[in-house]
Amino acid sequence: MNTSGEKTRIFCRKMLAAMMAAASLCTFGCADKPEDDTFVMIDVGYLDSEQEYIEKYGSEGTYVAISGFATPEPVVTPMPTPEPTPEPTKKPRVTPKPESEEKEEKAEEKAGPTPTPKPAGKKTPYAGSYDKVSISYESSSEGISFETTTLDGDAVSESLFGRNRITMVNIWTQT
Amino acid sequence: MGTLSELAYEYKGTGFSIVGLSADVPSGSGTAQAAKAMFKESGGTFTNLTYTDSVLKTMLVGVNVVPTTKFYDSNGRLLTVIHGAKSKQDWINIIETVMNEKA
Repeated sequence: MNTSGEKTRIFCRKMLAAMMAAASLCTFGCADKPEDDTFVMIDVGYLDSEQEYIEKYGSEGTYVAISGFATPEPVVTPMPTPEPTPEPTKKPRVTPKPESEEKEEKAEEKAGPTPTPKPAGKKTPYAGSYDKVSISYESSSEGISFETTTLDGDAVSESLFGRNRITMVNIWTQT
Repeated sequence: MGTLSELAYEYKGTGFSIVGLSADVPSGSGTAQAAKAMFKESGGTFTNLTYTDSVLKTMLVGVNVVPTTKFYDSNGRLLTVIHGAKSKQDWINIIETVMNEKA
């Protein structure tokens, strides 16, 4: 006959065995990898082998089953996310210029910068009614520089010549 | 001076101008007023200069007779020298020739 004392003793024995098993599982599973990827599950309850226990020890006892496993979680290597490839920018199409335009541009390049036209001024009043005369010109290469005043007292310098293309200076005296 | 004043007026705006130079009036002297009066009496209306040292060394160099007329381009380079007085038509011929050949 099984007495309650025996049941308790058997229970304690089994409990001790279960605790040792759990400890060994824990050691096996956690010694090398105490990290979060190892765990031990202790299940207390009625499982398939309870029926066997009831048949042997009666229904008053408590069956404790300890199951444990240590399954290291697979190390997930983060895969590099491929950077989104920017869409190729569309190059503007170069419309071929007509040959006539190209020729004009080349001609302009050859000609160089357009010279600044001189101030034309209006036509001289006697351009069509004069007799050409023979004039001997000076070969001076440098402009003169002077400072003086007018009869009214205004200051004048060589910049006076820059106002016109030709300046005629009539030198005279009172006597 | 009346003839030159007429030409100065007629050639206004064509790129040609006439300037007078009083060879016996120093700049800032008291004779300037007398010269101015005489210039106006003779019909002169254009700008008239007095002389200074720098004028003596430039525009008055080589002037032995009066009137003497000198033509300069826009850079102050001397083009030609005309001696003596001229009629209006003579001046027109000279001015037009210079304007066509050097302007």
